[in-house]
Amino acid sequence: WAHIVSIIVDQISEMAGEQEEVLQIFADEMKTEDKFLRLNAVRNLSVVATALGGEATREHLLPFLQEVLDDDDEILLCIAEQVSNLTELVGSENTHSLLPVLESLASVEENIVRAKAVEVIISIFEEMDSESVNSHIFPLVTRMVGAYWFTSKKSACEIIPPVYSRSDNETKEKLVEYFKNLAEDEIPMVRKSAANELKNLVGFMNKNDIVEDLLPTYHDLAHDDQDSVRILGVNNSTAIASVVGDDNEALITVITDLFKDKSWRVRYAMAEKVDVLCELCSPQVRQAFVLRRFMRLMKDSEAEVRAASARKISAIAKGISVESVVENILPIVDKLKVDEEKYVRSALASDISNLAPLLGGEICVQRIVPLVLELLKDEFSEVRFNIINNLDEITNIIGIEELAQNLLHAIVQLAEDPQWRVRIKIIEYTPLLASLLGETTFTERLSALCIAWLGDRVFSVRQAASENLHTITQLFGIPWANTNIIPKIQELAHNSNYLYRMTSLFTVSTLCAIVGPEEIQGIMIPLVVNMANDSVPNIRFNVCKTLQELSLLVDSNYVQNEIKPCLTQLLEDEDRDVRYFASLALQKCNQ
Amino acid sequence: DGMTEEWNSRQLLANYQTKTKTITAVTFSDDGDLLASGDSDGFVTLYQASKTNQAYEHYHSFSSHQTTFDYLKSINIFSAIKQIRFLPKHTTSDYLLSTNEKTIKLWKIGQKNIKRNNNTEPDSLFPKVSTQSKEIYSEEAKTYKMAHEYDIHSIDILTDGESFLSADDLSINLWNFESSQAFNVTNTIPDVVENTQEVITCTTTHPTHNSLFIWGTSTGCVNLGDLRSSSIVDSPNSVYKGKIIAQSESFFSEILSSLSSVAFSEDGNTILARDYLSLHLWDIRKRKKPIDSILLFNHYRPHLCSLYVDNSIFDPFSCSFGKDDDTLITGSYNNNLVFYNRNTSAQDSLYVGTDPEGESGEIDTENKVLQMYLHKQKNVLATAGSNILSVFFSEH
Repeated sequence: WAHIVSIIVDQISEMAGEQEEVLQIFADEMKTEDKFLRLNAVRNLSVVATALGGEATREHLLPFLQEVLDDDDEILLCIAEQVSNLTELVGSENTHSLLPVLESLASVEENIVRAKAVEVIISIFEEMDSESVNSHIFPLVTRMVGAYWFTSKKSACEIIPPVYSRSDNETKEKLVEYFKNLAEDEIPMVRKSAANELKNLVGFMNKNDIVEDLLPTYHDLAHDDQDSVRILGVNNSTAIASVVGDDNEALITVITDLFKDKSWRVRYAMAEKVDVLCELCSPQVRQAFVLRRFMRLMKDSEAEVRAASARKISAIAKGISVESVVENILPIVDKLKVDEEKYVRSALASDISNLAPLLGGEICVQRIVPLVLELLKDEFSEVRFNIINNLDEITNIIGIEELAQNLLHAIVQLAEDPQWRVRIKIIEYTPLLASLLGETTFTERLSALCIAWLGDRVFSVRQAASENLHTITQLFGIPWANTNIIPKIQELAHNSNYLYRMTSLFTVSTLCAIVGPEEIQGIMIPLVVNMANDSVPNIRFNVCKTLQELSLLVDSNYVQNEIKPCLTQLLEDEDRDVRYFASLALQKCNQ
Repeated sequence: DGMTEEWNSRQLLANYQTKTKTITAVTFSDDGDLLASGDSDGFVTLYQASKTNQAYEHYHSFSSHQTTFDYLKSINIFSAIKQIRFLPKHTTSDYLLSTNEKTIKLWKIGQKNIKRNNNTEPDSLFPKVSTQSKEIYSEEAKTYKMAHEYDIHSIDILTDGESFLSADDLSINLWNFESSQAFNVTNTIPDVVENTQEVITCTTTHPTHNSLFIWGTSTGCVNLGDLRSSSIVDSPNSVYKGKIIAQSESFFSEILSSLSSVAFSEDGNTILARDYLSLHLWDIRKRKKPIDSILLFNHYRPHLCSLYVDNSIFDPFSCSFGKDDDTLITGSYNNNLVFYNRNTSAQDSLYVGTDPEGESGEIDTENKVLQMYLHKQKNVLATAGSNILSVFFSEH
């Protein structure tokens, strides 16, 4: 590759004559009014740089780029990307020459450009030797921290953590000092950036330094005026807790305050991370502190917070004793199951089954099963779905019999729901239910339903039903299908409504992939061939399509004797589409 | 009567001759360096404070919104700018939000250097770039649309600099500048829309507190909402509702109590609300009774019938606190801007029109001051009277 590049470079240099002309051409292109021409010119920056060579790039191209930076955001982003490709060209000891352009780009208002520039700066920094870091990166950070516009300060927040990791102690102290100043900046967006980066900085610091230097800043940010700053205290808390441990008083104070924050958004964020926090704490702290706070969140005034905590019930339950769960959590769960907000009930339904393995059979029967049964009768379909989805957790512990009756009732209700999307969803759950119920119960109670779905008003439901039969057949086997499904499909093929006849055709093709050759030859193909005389052209050309698929599954003799004659007959059909598909199918058969 | 004397230096910035083009929005940037005006044709015009003398110079104009046709409902969506708000300035470019009745747009106003390549050194062919002049350009940075069923009437920016509110008749939405998705924070739509008793007429955010905002309604209520308390602020956290100063309940009582604008004092502890005839002052900590209700426009009363017939009774006058919280300013007819001093109960008028007339008993509803904006630090008052835009400078 290098060989090819050098050839190209030589050619460009020859074509361009002098290096100066190359830069002149580039400069002219950057002057044009047309944005796309400028964008194209920038995309070829590395070619220009290669033609100029390392020295001319450093001395002329990069300063020139500095002058053209008040351009469209798209072009600026492209410049940032291209500059990152120039590291090899300028030489690894000279990568600092790329920094001025990137520094300007890192102060741009548009976030995408700014973030990219910061990313490139960090990647250059990582490859630099320590001396360059001291003489170039640190001054860069200093300038950004003291910049007039807040965007540079945002970028400084993002650069400080990685730079910190590679600095000596003296520099580390200065960087922490900078960081603290940024965290106290009067502009909320700078403080937000600092709050966001705090956890990254924590990752590079040792425990003592964190406790001494960073905890006060962490505390202040978590008590900031702005919600958007405080909310980041949640992630900072887990980051600090993982290093410092759970016995630090200052840390516990802040976490307590965040749990009690006036803004529901902060409490919501805490609810989402409460399980992470729980894991980081020792069992005593979990019981005494985290659990109490979690219980409050489950009873929070804002529905979103209750829903978020409902999703974490089993995660918290894992960290505490069974008695504690029964005593403390289950009473609140009883209240949540009748919460007036359906999203809260839905969230509860999605998590409640996971409690079963933690509590054991007896408690499960006593406490969880009644809960589940009640939720199965909820008026909001999503609640019922979420229960059904996680049923295997419970049935693994207690078996299906306890639930079967109510379950079946819920399923039948959902299967007849006026909303077709609800009906499709329950069809998707049917294979799971089949495996839970076992063949006998399933056949008795649900197989009729599966067939009925084939006759649904909505096409998507009929399609889902066909595919469902495919999965069930795979589960229960071909003999089962022979007894229960195939006769019904044969019936459907004679239905007076052509849409249902189509459905039977479709089901045939989905089933053929898994049934044996006797069924295919004995039942399926004759069924299909029969429909070749159907009055509706749609059926006839679907017959061609189906025969095409089926021909791959039988031996060539059969194809010759049964399939081809049928297709040949359809070649003479009065409908154009039928003739087309017939010829297509015949082509495939002949191959 | 000395309240308006200080505003003696006036600069006329725009005087539209056609009656159809009116100025519909006026606002200053945070530092007062830029003044923006929006008109009924959807244009936004920017004026910049001169560095040398006390004046504003034309800086840039651009077409922010055009009239479009809603095919689904078969109605026009007019281009008239309802409100403009500047974002706090954080880089060399300026950003403002401007909205018509359906779509809010974020505009970036920047300066581009027009560059020339000067090859001044004969022995070096490397181009040197020099800046000849600056060109001001406006670019639509983001569009926030399809979030309002009814007509938008107010927008305001929250103090975190990252989000803003937009309000229509029955709902208020919260937006984040970066994303194009709105979150509904207040929804007063009743179960059956036809049963609507009360609509939202104006909204503004608290000057310092990030989570507080107020909205005024057509029944004369000011509602305070707190974004921290719940995800949907269905019932306001505080309601300020007083009795209408009405000698008798009349046909117009309900219309007269509709609030046309609400404003916060600088420290955010006092709320000012304007209904058709009066100004009301509330302390946000006292909900039962307003601090004061000032009947400023009792002289409209005899003319209410004709004011109702030509729809003037629905004119959305704005109001604000003066340079200190004791002075209140609001617009009125005959191109007059009315000042009121709370301590002395004195009243004064500043004429903002172009033809000073004699004392006329007639209420001239064609010339009215609907929009005004006072910038305290820069001591400038901008007023828009239908088709006249002026700035007044204070001698203090």
